[in-house]
Amino acid sequence: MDGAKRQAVILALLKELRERDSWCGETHVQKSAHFLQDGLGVPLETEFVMYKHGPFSFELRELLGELRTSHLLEVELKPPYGPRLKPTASGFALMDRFPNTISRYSRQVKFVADKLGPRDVLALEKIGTALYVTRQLPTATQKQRADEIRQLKPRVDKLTALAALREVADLLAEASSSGIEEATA
Amino acid sequence: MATKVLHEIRDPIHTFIRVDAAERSIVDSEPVQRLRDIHQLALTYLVYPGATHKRFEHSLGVMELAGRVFDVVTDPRNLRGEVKEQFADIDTGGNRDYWRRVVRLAALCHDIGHLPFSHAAERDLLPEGWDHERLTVQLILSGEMKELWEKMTPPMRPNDIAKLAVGKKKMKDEQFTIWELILSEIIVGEAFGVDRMDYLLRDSLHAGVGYGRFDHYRLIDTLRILPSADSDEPQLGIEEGGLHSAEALLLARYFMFTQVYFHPVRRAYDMHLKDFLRQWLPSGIFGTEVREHLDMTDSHILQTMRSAQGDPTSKGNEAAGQILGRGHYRVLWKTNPPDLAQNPDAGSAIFEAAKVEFGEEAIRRDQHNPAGPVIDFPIKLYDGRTVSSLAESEVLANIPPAAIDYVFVQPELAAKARQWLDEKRLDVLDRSLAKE
Repeated sequence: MDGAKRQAVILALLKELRERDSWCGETHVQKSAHFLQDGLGVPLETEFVMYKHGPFSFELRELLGELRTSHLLEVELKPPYGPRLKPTASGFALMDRFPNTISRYSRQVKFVADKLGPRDVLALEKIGTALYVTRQLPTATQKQRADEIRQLKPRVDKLTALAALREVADLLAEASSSGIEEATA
Repeated sequence: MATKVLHEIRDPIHTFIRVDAAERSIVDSEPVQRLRDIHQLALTYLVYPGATHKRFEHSLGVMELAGRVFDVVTDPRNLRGEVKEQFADIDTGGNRDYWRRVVRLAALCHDIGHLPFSHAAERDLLPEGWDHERLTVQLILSGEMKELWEKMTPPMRPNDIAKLAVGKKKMKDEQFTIWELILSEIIVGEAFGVDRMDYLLRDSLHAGVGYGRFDHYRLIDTLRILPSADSDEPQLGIEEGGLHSAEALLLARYFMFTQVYFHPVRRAYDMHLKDFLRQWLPSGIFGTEVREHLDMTDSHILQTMRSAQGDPTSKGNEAAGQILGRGHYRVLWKTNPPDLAQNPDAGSAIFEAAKVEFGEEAIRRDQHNPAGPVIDFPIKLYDGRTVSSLAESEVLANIPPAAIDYVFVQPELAAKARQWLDEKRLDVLDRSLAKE
């Protein structure tokens, strides 16, 4: 996916998240984009690494900065809470220029917005970490994956890790059964 | 004769920088000494004549600040609650001394991978997948330095130094513990990295601009390891009393980028420098072998540039003239909100149209977006609560990201090209808005 198309898909994700009352701060976008790419196979061509608060992409952070400097995205302040990210009129105009790309990934984007949009940052961190480990250890058992999560995040207890892994498996299975092409359980 | 155990080095920013004998062995090593011959700000001195300072003194300054921050954030009086429990083993088995030394040495070595003229050529003149951080890691882990790490008491683990020197962003395949992430944040963190603190203060002093100054004493004194405002894991944050100095740091960064680092003439010189190097380097790019890297310095390149300027048959003659003869390209267009409102990709539209009008060789583009959307860190309020900085400070949330998008034109065509752009701007911006 080239630069402008990738920008359009990320802006579409922001739009869908906001329509579902997601707070849509950077963490929400990071974790949703991670699920979109590593969960549902949308080729955002960005690398997610395990960082302080779960999977994180430095490239996506730069892309969000680029969208802001190009006035395609703005930061909406809601004191006393953190900022929300919002597509601008120019951002919507950019999405309009890529109807085929937006439509190609629209089911995946909407699925992620439906499932992750309403969650808070802590819940997203758990889901994101569970998906990351699931992808890192494709042939491992859930118990082995839970141990890996505990290794990465010693403060997460085993039951919480297992619950998060189960939730990810359910989400991937649901995506797969509803015919979202790239999804693999 | 008694051996001196602590060495003092005079410094215009920090007054004295003190190093012990073990640290001195690294200061004296070839990779660090080479930094005496790498300009901190490349050819910026052609625009700001005072900006002739080198990576060497910056690296010493980063080491000094890293030690100060480590002492503040790991002071038992400053570690509270769950964070204190999480890092309870800091005072066992020599951990504190070991990690303090790792932080300081990583800070000292964080720039040893820089190419001649620092960042100027890094993006375009290294093989795919290489940057100065990867060269830094390679040098830290190299045989040349291994012996020095092993001689220390206790011996340093080179991988610890490398991880802290470049951070997770540049060692994506390495697993970092939360402790290591926090310590690397002390050096290269987006919000409070001492690399940033030192370069803002130092570049500002040498360039002769006041924009980079902020109260770093107050800021460092209020830094803490805090639980994140909305997550389980701790990170570097500040006590409420340091908020204004944190705002000043991030504003200083914005102003230094817009006024100094992104100065259009400075960027044009970077472009010509890359042209020169592309032609002059045997394979058109820099090598990545340790020896090759250590032998390549600014003096070496400036000397060959001067020779090339005087010899029309020499490789890089034209670019050498553009730099040393001050024949740099001129700004035709720079990014601006009205043009972006018209066309979000205004830079590409104008660049492409100008190339068609004036020829590929006459038109150049320089685009760079260095930052993420907003910088967030925890703040501990006077009442004990921890909140997000963006919830507490409207200043932080409103600092615009610094970015550039310039289209340059050959000096001889500048007047004509500007007139062309005045007449054709709207047409050019509208023309390239086709749907897929």
